[in-house]
Amino acid sequence: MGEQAVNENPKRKLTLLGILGIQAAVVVYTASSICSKMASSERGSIEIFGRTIEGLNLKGFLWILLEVGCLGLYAVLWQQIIKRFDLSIAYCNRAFAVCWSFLWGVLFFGEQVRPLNLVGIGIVLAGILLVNSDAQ
Amino acid sequence: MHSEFTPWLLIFLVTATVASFAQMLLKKSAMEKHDSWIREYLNWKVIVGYGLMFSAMLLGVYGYARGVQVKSASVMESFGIVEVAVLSAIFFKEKLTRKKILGIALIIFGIIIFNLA
Repeated sequence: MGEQAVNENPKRKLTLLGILGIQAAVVVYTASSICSKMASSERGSIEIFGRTIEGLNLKGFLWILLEVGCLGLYAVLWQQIIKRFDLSIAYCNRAFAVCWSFLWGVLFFGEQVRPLNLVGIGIVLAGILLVNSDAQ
Repeated sequence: MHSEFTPWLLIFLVTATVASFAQMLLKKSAMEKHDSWIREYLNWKVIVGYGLMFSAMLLGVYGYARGVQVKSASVMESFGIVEVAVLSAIFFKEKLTRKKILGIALIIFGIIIFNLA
């Protein structure tokens, strides 16, 4: 979808501001997992047009709506990013999603940081960067 | 400290797989010529693709409801990168280079190490 635009625009040099911009988009993307987790604890049912839908209560559905919103916003931001930066730079930055999600788990849901978690994430990150570095 | 591994984590391998197949459909559609701008978005591949993505999202919520942690889910979903690389080689003849294969091995190894914690 964004391929044409990629060829038309001269690519911007990577600056600190550029990295922050791309990471902001990645944060929006990973925020979707926070919404998912929040929704998962809102069990119940809601009534829409006289029909009862079991599974989540209204709050749960609102979290899902917010999640869809995050992913939609991310899609728009991503199109802008690949227009402005080389794909390799964009994908390199996106790999860090796994680190952001880890941070959200620890910060918002009190999940434990275990040494093997950190080693595992480091290896996964290296793997993602390696796969992406050859994906153009 | 007991292991944090739970079989429910495997749900996130399923969501990654569903999302990877969805990506294949979206890419297929993006490579085709469409009569109009609206057809680029309103064709069965895109609709099924996004439908699959949405289903994967809901399945993820179910996984979280079963107690999967956010930190673990995102690591499990990295398996999607492995699947996209392999499926792209199958469907789009994208080369599985030595670098990619090494990256794939690292991702799988990293997921295993992460879950040993």
